[in-house]
Parts: sequence; C-alpha cells; structure tokens
Amino acid sequence: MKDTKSAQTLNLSDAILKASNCINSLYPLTNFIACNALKGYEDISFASAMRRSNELFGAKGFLALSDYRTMYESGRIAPSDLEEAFHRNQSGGNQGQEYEIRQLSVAEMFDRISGSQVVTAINKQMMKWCGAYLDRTQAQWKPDAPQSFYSFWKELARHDLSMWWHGVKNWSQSVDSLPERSQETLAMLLHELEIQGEHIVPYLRRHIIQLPGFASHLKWRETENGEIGILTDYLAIRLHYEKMLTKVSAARQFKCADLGLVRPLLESEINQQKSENQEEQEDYGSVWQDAFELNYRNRLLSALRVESVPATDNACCQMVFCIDVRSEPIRRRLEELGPYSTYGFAGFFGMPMRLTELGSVLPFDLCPVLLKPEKDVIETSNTADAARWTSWQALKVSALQLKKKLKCNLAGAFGLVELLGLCSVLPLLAKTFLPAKINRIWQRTELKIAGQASSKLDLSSFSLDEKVALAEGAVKGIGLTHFGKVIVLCGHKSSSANNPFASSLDCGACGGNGGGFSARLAAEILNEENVRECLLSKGIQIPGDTVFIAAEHDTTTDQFLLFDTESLGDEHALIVEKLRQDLICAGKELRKVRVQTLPESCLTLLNDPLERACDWAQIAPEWGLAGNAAFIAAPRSMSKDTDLEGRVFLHSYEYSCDSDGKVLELIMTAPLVVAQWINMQYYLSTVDNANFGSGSKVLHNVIGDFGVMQGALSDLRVGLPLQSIMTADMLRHEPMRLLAVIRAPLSAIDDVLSKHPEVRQLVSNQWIRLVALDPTKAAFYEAEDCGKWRQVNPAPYVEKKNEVTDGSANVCFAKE
Amino acid sequence: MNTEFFIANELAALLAPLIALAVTLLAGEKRKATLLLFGHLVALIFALSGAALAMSQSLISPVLLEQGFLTLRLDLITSCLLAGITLIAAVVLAFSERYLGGERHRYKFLCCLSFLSSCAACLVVTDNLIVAFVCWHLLSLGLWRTMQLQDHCRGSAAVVLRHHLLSDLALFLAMMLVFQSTDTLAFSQLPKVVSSLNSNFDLFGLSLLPVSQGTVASLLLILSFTIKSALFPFHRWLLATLDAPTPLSGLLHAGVVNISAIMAWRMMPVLQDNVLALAAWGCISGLSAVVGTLGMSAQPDVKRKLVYSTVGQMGFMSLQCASGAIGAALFHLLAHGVFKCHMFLQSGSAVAEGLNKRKYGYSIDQQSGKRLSSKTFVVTTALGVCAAAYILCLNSSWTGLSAIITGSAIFCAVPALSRIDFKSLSLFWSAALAIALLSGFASSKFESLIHFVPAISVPILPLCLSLFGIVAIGLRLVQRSGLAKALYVHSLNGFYTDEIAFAAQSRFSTKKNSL
Repeated sequence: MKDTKSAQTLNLSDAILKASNCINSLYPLTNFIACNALKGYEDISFASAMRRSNELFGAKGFLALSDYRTMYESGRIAPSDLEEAFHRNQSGGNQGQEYEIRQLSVAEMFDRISGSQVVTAINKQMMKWCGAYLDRTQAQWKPDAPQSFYSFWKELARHDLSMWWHGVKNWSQSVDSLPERSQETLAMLLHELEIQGEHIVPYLRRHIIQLPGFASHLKWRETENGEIGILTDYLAIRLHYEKMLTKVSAARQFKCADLGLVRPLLESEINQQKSENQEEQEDYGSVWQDAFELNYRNRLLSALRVESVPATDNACCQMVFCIDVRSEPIRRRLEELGPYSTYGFAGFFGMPMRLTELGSVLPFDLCPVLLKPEKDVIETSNTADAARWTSWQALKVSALQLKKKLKCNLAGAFGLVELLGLCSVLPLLAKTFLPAKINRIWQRTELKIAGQASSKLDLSSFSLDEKVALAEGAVKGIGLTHFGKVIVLCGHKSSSANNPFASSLDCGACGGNGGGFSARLAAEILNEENVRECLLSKGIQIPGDTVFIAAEHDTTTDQFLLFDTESLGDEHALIVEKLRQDLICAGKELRKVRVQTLPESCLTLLNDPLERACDWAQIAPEWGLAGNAAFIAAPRSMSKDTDLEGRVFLHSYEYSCDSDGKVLELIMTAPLVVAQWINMQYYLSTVDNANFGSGSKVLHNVIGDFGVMQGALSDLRVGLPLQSIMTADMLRHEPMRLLAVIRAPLSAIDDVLSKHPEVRQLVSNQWIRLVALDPTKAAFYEAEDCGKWRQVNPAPYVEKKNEVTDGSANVCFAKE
Repeated sequence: MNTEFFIANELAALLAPLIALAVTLLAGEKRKATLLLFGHLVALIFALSGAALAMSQSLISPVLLEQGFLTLRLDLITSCLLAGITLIAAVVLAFSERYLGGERHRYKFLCCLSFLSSCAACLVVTDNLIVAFVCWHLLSLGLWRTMQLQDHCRGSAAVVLRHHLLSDLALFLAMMLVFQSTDTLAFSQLPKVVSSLNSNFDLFGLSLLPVSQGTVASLLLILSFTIKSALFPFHRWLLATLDAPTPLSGLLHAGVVNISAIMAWRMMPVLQDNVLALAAWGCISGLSAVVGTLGMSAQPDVKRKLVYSTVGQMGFMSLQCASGAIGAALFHLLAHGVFKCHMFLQSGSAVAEGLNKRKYGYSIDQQSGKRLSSKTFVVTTALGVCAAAYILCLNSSWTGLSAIITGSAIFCAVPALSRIDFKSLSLFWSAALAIALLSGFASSKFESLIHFVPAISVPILPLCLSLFGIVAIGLRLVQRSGLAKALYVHSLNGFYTDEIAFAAQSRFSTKKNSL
C-alpha cells in the first residue's frame, strides 16, 4: 500500500517536470539571465516549436507578414533569398509532431460555457499568494515565514474571506482538511477530478500556462535555487482553488457538486463548440523568416575575409574583451587608433567564483549560469578606510530600513511624511534636471564621508594547481600565443538609474553582474609568479615583463576603468597611459555614433550618454544586446576591417593551436549556447512581446526585488521590455536566429556535434544556423545536421547607400 | 507696489502653462514637448518668486482680484500651494518627456498632464464656486482622458470615471444647496451668509427630513471629498490608475487626490457647524488611515504599497481637516505631495534597493543581533504618541515628534546598526533632528495661519493619534497570534473591496440576465 503511494507521488513529480517543460526558468531581476523561453521545445524543429507555442500560449512565432512584405519591398529580402528559403523548407518538410492530448481545465470549460470568470478568480488568488510568499524585501509586515509555500498558504489561507464573496461557504474547513503535504493534496485533487494516466501531464500543463510568469519563476526556484517541491505546492494550491470555485459554478449550473460527474458533461459541450471553429491557417512566416536570415547570412559572409592571414600578433599592448556584441564597435575603433590587438573571450575569463563584496553579506555568482562556482572569493581591505566604508554602507541601509518600517507603523507614518516630505523637493528637482551633476556631487560627498577603500581579492580558497589550471585555460581559450608588454583583461558593466532591468544590461557571462571583479581575479592569477613558473612546464611561456591589467568597460558611457595601475614600472606606465588616452578617444567617438540611435529628449543636454547613465527618468540608457545576430569564432583578422555594426559575438579561435579540439568543444558548448539564449530571448521578445516580453517599462510595478508586474496586479512579466528592442515606431532589434560562423575544419565541428546532442539538436532543428569556414578550402559550408554540410556561396554584397551604421534596424515597422 | 508685483507673479505662474498648452494645439509634434516644458518652467519660477514675496510680506489676509466669475484670491497659503503644484507639474512633465520616450502617445500624454496640473492650480486660486466646480470636474475628465490614451486601460479608466462622477455629482448638489440658501457664489462671502443654511431642508417645498440645509450640504460635501481623496472604501479608483504610466501616478498622488483638502478649506464655513458631518468624516478618515497603513505594510509590490500608503495619508489629512486644523492639513498635503511624487518616480529603483538591503543589511527573516523587545517598543511608542498628542492639544501641529521617538526605538533594532561607527551615527541623528525641527517649525507656522474652530468639542486629532498608537502597540503585542495572521490576510486582500465590488457586479448581472 505504502509502495504504491510513493510510486504515485514519484510519478507525480515526474509529471510536473514534464508538464513544466513548456516554460523555462525565469531568473530574478537582481541577476537577469537571458533565456530561451521555449527551451523545452529545442528537441523539435524551430517551426514546429513556434506552432506548439501558438497552440499553448496563442503566441506568434514570426513577424507579421506585412513586416516581411515591407522588407521585401525595401530590398532587405531579395527574391533569391526567398527562393532559397522556399527550396529548403520544401526539402526539409514537416517533422513528425509529437502528439499530445489537448485538454482544458475544468475552470476553463466553465468559463467557456457560461461566461463566468473562474480562471481570472483563481489567477488573482495565485498572484496574491505567490507575491506574498516570494517577496523578501518589500512588505514590512509578514507572518514568520514557514518552510514551504504550501504550509505558508495553508496556515494563512484559512483566514481568507475572499472566497466567501465568490460563494464558497466552507472555505476554512476545506483548507483545514487538506493533507499536510502538497504532493498528497495534488494527488487527491487529481483523483477527485478523475484525471488519470496520460491525462495528468496535459492537465497540469494547462494550469501551469495560466500564469506562465509566476510558474517560470517558481521553476527557477525549484531547479536553480534549491526550493524543491515549490511547483508541486503551487499546483496543489491552484487545483484546490479550482475545485472550490468550480463546485460553486457546478452547483449553480448543474445542481450537482460532484466534479467527477460534471466534467464529462462539460467536455461534450466544449467538443461541440470546438468542432465549429477548427480551421488551421497555414502561414508562411517560417519561410519569410528564413529568407530574411539568409539575406543577412550572405551579407555577413561576403564581408568576412576568407583567405587565411598568417597570425602576426606583435603588438605590445593586447586587450581581451568579452564576447558581448557591444565589444565589437569599441574594439574596431581602438584598433584604428593604434597598434592594438584585441581578443574576444567570455567575460568571466573562464574563472568562475562566488564573490562577497567588501562589507556585504550576500555572495553572488560571477560566471555563466551553466556553471556553479566552487570557489568563494572575498573582497578585502586592510586599510582603516574599509571600516569607514562599511559603516557608511550600513548606515545608508539602516536609514532606508528605518524609513520603510516607520512608514508602515501607524504611530510614525504620518509624522514621518510631515518631517521628510518637504526635503524631497531637492532630489526631485536635482535628479530631473541635473542628473549627472548631482550624481557627481553625491559621489564626491560620499567619498568625503566614507573614504575610498582600496581593496583586493582574497584568493586563499584557490590552491596553486587550481590557479595554474585556470590560467592555462584562460590563455589557451583566448588563444594568446604572443605576449605583449601589457595585456588588458576587460570586463564590462552598464550604468543606469531607476532601472529594474539594469542587470539585463550587465555581463551575461558574469551571471548578470558587472565584469570588473572577474577581470581583476584573472589578472591577479595571471600576474602571480608561482603560477607563471608552473605554466612553463605546460609549455606556456609568459615573459617576465608582461603585465596583466584588469579593466572594466562601461557600456552606457563607453568609459573605461583600469584597476591597480599605480605600481607599474615606467615602461608599462607609458603604454598604459597611451592606452588610456586612446580608450577615451575611442569611447568619445563611439558615444557620438550611439547616441543618434537612442530615443531623444527635447532637453538636448540630457541626451548625452554620460547623463543617461545616472538619469532616473531615462527609459533607454543604452541598447544592450539589441541587434545581435551572429556569433563568430575565428581569428580577429577574419573580421578586422569590416564594420559588423555591433551585431556580432566575437570569440577568438585559432584552429591550428587547438589540435585536440578541446577549445572548440568549450566554445560550442558554453559561449555559443549562451549566445543562443540571448539571441532567442531577443527574438521572442521582439516577435511577440505580449507573451515573451515584458511590455512597456512605463507600466512596470516591481514586486519584491525579483520581478515586475504590469499595473496593479498581473502575472510576472518575462523577457525584455519594449524599450530594449524598439523605439516608438521602429524596431531596433531585427529578430533573427543566431548565425554561428566557426573557422575550423568540418570534421572537428562534427566531432563536437556528435559528442553533444544538446548542441546538435540546436543545429538540426534550426534553432541556430551553423556555418563553418573550412580553412583549408577557404569556403563556407552550412550545416544541416551533424555530418551534413552544404557549401554556400554568398553573392558579393553591394553596399546600399541608405544603410545606417552601427546596427540600427534599417526597416521601419508599424508598431501593433 | 509690492502687492501688485506679487499678483503679477501669481498670474504669470497661472497663465504660463495655459498659454503653452494653447500654443501646443498649433505647434508640430516635436515642438510640443519643448513648449510645454518651457511654459511650466516659467510658471515654476514665477510661482516660487510669488511664494517668496508672499512670505517676505507675510500676506496672510487674502488679496481679492475681483473680476466677476474670474475672481481670484491670493495669499501666502495659496501661493505656497501654487508653488507646490507648479513644482510637481514641472518635474513630472520633464520626467515623462524622457520616460515616455518609447511611447507613441507621448505628446498627448504630456498635454494631459499639463492640463491636469493647470486645473488643480486654477482650483487653488479661484474664489468662485462655479469655477471651482468646473475645475474639479475637469480634473475627473482629464484623468479619464489620460488613462484612455492607452488601449489596455479602458476598463480601469471607466472605474476611475465612475467614482469621480459620483464625487462630482455630490459636490454639484452641495453647491446648489449652498447657492440656493445663501445666494452667493463667492467663497469669500460664505462666512458671512452661512447662517442662512440653518433653515430646514426641503425638496420642492416638501420637508422630508428634519435636518437643516447645511447638514445635507455638508454630508454631500463629505461624500464628495471622501471619494476624491480615495479614502477607504472608495480607494478602488486609485488602484485602477496603476494601469496607466508611472508619471501619471506621480502627479495624481501629489496633485489630484489631495485637492479635496483645498476644497474643504474653502467650504469650511459650511462644514464647521455640522457635528454630524464632521464626526462622520472623522470616522471614515480614521478608518482609512488605519486600513491604508495596514494594507501598505502587507503588500509585496512597490506600486500597490504606495497606493495604500496614500490612502492612509489621505485619511490622516482628512482627519486634520475634520478637526478644523486646515493649516496642518495643507502642510501635510504639500509634504505628502512631493514625498509621494518622489517615491513614485523612483519606483523602478526597488530592485537595486532590495539588493542593497540584502547586501549590506540583513533580510527581514534573518534578523539577528538585537531584537526590538515588545516592552521597549510599547513604551517608546506610547511616549511618542502621548507627546505628539499633547502638543496637538496645545493647538500646534508637530506630529513629527511621534515619528522621531518611535523611529529612534525602531532604529536601535535595525540589524546593520552594529556595523555603524559612533561618529556617523551621531551625525545621522543630528541631521535627522535638524530636519525634524525645521519641518516642525514650518508646519506649526502653517497651522497658525489658518485654523477653524469646529463645532465638535472633542479633540479629534489627539484622540485619533492616540488610537493609532494603541493599534500599533496592540498589533505588536499580538504579532504571533491567529488574530494577527487573520488581520494580515485581510490587509493583503485590501480588506476585500475588490471582492465585494465583484460580487455585487455579478449578482447584478445575473439578476439582469434572469429578467
């Protein structure tokens, strides 16, 4: 008896796992990670996945036909592209679709038949309870949080009177009589609804997609944050509400409160309705999309240099940037200014860590979410200023907490407003009219009060061997063969004020945080004498006069911060000084170009990126990764002289230095996959912002510190806000699947694909377009699957005159 | 001479936005924002200098600019209010111009904001009942129109409009009654003729109820004010406005909800002799203050928190009005206006704030170190409330005292306190005290400028403040009991106004269907 029960519950958690594959984890806003919302469907072809998401969410998978039409007319899609796309889609054919029972929940059936609003009522309750349970920072009044969502709810919901107003008369008893564990509750409720066997998964999925935002966030908590069982809790609570509310409807409509009896009746009625409107429209969106992407592919490939250039890197100053698409424009400008050679590598430099900042008690992960860091690094400082600084931070937070607590205290709330109220005039005026100036004054004051604590990273958790392994990985991964005098490792971060999505502009490879710390860690390890000595035995000889310097690129202002440059020798200091000047110069130039593409204010002074970075009214401080379209893993010489418009993830890779294919394997399983996540998030947010994006920022309402709702109460919004992908009347991001270009022998790529089915399915199911540049034949090949390659001949591209540089979409779209 | 200069300033502050708004009708899309912004900045400068002039001359008795319908009354307080309104309008306008950069209806939205603030400004200075009513009504329509700009808000715009029309209707009827029995349309004449409101209330010659005209008019006024200032249970419209862009909420919570205090000031001669109306108003306001503050403490999202906070603050402001302390209410209005505007506009910082809190403080549920013992809390809260209530009894308004005393107790229990060095701590508290003294001085100054003596003999304000103290202490004492849990759930649900409205609506619609 007991065995069958545990087997049942085991099956149930399997079923929940399976049912939740239609959503992906939604990371909290404090570390925003771009994800493919339809990751669960990567095992079927892209077009089928889009059809599937249409069935589930009513989502669009492609742009409107009129948009493609506009592109066709403007020459953005050529007839030849369309022809090629058409042929390919014919030959590819439709894949066998997985069959799944289509099922509606009982509440939905009631709503459809009688026009009641049961689903809305359930959703409202669920949003309320999820918000109350998940929030840790906003509500000042909170009953002591018990261990799980289910027990939290069970303890409190019995006091809830809202069900009474919906006609449920025995609410408290019904909550009290539920089992202690949510799995049992869920099993019981499913049993009462007589949902068994193969019907369970579709039924649960139906419930999950009612509030995809909250469900996705709960999935993150379940899979990434160690709160196991929270989705079960959620579904159990949800089904209980459904049961209680539909019973009322059933009693009203059928004079019978047994849902098991009522359900067949409802189903037959729904089926009658359904048969009337079953017409599927074939949409050629996928063909048009393909043609659109082919056009870009041809343009990009013809702009790349095919012939191999012997690697001659003898620059005395080398700079390693993150692969982020925002690095490409600054790299190009820097290279034009002097004999610099630049490299692209994932922004955490292959060194995952869990960092605790100076004075902080909250460690955070600085690495892609594919990895889990094992090493703790603490930012320390032994100067007296550190204590002062910590004290200042604590004071600031305490004052904030005091204000919040007092505002919620009846004895203090009204007095507080009278005390502080008029003081708000100053920040109101200053932040609105002089954002940068006031920010500078504030920073200077803070510096006076808190002092500047010079800190360093405590690397004691790394052993020498570990450090050597990390250093070796970084040097090989970057592809450094020649070492100049100065090698700058440059992370990146973004500055914006009053922006809930600030983290989405930071470095994705650092887990949605700034990349400065990772660069400092890497530089510190690579500068260590012992490490260099041990590297010698591995065949890596770093000259004694080579210095690694950490830097941080602010992508909003295009300013650079170089760390720890005080103790350099004269020769190095000269190089660094020259570099500093050139970076300022390159940044200035880039700012000028970038600002033209951003939405403008009539207070023209405030359009300057330096102002944008600290302007609390600024809705679009920068464009982030909008426009991203391709991923290139090749030596820089291949793309050096071309303007890639800030649309390309650039990863350095030299196949001749990678005889065993280890580096290629790493590139294709980590940076390429992360780039695909980012790309898909931009794609989906653009083609259907209502379902996969988070709508307009001006309506956002931050809940807890993990998500945004729209308006007073709504589902959590997923994906990117409209302001990240478009201006008032123009799309900034052109939605296209990632085009991966790798300069390596086909066989090496095939090896990786056959070894990693999760990457292979991305290629074979057309989630990415993989093009290889065969270095021996100097020709491009596009992969259809592992081992199936087709040569492509990009027509020489003729530059159009009205082309806008730096990645602004050159097609206008009507906003829906 | 100086008075004329003052008048000129005030007029310019009033007219500049209106002229700018009129010119935008002719100007092209791109110019609109520049024009409006320019108009409002000019108005801000004039309004500030007007207020400074009034202060330097301490213009307490109003200057009347008699022009029939368009009679204006200007004095120190109106000039301060005008300065407050123009300041908020200029800030919100400049903010929205950037903030709505990605929206198609950006310019229309800016015009609407400018229109709303101009209506509020006119309402402050006019001496005519009809003009005041028109402004009051235009605020409702303007708000509705602003919300209508976005397609998805049509439903909530309708909710807002319904509430406001009811408020407008009540005000209209009240004004009709006042006009009928006093024969005057000027606010400044009301104190002289108010005695004629004592005649019995009759409808077409039939005296139905044994109440005076004045009572009926007062009750209608109270109803109108209660709805307009979103007191519980009429706060649903304020929640509905959250569907509109954030800057609208900034303007709304600073400039529209508290307009009823200004109207109450004008209508105080009618209200002050009606014990029934004042008592009813006091009760609703007190309840609203409690409900709003409790509701706020339980909400997990930033905007609903702010709405409930406004409901509570408006409750307190109305309470001040009901007890005759109009000056204090107007000070509260100004202080709360700028405070809430700031909070709304920076609502996007909640993520960064939450992160900072978890980094450098401790989260609420991992509180360690010193815990605030209930005994300390009870003693300090009682002390703070008693002191504030005593000062209030002395006819001075220094409510801030309770906040200072309660706050210092709470501050001792803030987890990160142990890491703050003594020097910065003492610096912080001296700054806080200095601010407290300054604003205490300002509020008592305001209070001394206008004060009505209402017919009610009970000191409402000190009483209610003590009541709040008792509720706060009581909640603290029972914080782990079932009662507190139940109260938490009710607060989380916003005390079921939505559910009740929903139930009423569905019952109504089923009845209609069955007919």
